[in-house]
Amino acid sequence: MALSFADGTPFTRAWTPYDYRPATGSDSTERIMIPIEIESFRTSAFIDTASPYVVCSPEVADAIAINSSAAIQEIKYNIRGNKILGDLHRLSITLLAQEGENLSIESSVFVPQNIDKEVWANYPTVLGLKTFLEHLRFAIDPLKNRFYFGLCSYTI
Amino acid sequence: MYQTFNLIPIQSNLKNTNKNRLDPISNNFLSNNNLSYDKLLFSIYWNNYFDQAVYQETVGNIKLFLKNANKIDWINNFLSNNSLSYEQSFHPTYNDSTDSSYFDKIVYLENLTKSGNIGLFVKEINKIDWTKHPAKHFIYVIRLALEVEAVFAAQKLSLLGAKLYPQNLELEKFAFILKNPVLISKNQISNSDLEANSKWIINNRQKYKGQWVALKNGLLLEASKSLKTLTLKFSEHKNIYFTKVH
Repeated sequence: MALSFADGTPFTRAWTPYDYRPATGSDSTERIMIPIEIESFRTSAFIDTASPYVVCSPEVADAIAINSSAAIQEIKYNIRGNKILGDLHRLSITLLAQEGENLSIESSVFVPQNIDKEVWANYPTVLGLKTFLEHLRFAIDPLKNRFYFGLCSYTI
Repeated sequence: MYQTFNLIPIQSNLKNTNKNRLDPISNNFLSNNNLSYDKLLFSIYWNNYFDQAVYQETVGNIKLFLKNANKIDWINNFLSNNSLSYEQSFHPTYNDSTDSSYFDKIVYLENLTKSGNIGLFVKEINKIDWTKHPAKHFIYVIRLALEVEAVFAAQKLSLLGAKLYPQNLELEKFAFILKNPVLISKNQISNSDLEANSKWIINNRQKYKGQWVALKNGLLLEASKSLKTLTLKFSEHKNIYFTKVH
């Protein structure tokens, strides 16, 4: 069931199960990882309110074969203390609902290029705050591992 | 390398003359500096004291032009006569046809990002009258803003730039990519397999640590160290969930 305000109007209209697990082999803490689709490719992404951008894992970017010429090329972005060179794309991200409405949203997405494998160490796909999450309503239920989400009418 | 020299005192003397009719002051200057008229004129050309038309009229010899191009220390001449540092002269936004005060503002913004003063950088962006700046200034500062994660400033500037320069395809692309997220669709399609996949991960995480797994309806289709291996095997990957397990 979706979450509602006291007057019955919906706060969010959907939820998806999340995994609470490390996002990389070197992570010592768990992350909230939810199923999403990037350009119709179904994969996982972790919720990172410290990241301004959605970041697409290099391996996923390779799988969906995105077109670099349509991107803002060669932007440097600081990930975990490392300056990573990459391109900014406009891609569709779908939040998948176990119950409720799937939301497909077009957003800016950072895609690393010329990956140094040691630096990236299997870095996963990330849903960042500024260009994505802050335009949505979201909440978690840590007892049931549910991630609730919905649109904010005044942003999207 | 030729010495750097100040061209201003002899500029007016040279302006209306040619190599056969040099005035005594210019002649002395040339001999004292071991320079030929052509070399000097080339230097002047590069320093923008004469435009190309004047140069061609007085010399008119492209071979000599190119030969001298390799001999003259025009970089130092140019820098000293324009009060620029080497770094500034090669700044991507420098353009000698743009008022230098606009260029100075871009260098100032760049220095703020280098010193990590991002709050002031964003404030200064908002203070600038951008209508006076060329499109390349917009592109340069948007890139600076993106690199210091001033996403809102980059977004705002790209929209303004695209509005002021509607013919500029680069700014149009920046504005399109950086604009706020847009809802493409919402639908009620249920994904009943999501919870089943999640349960599979909880139960099998340790066993498949470090591997990509392909799951469907809570069942493992395949596991591999490489995502590419899985996507090649399941080229029709609709509703298959690919995730790396740790």
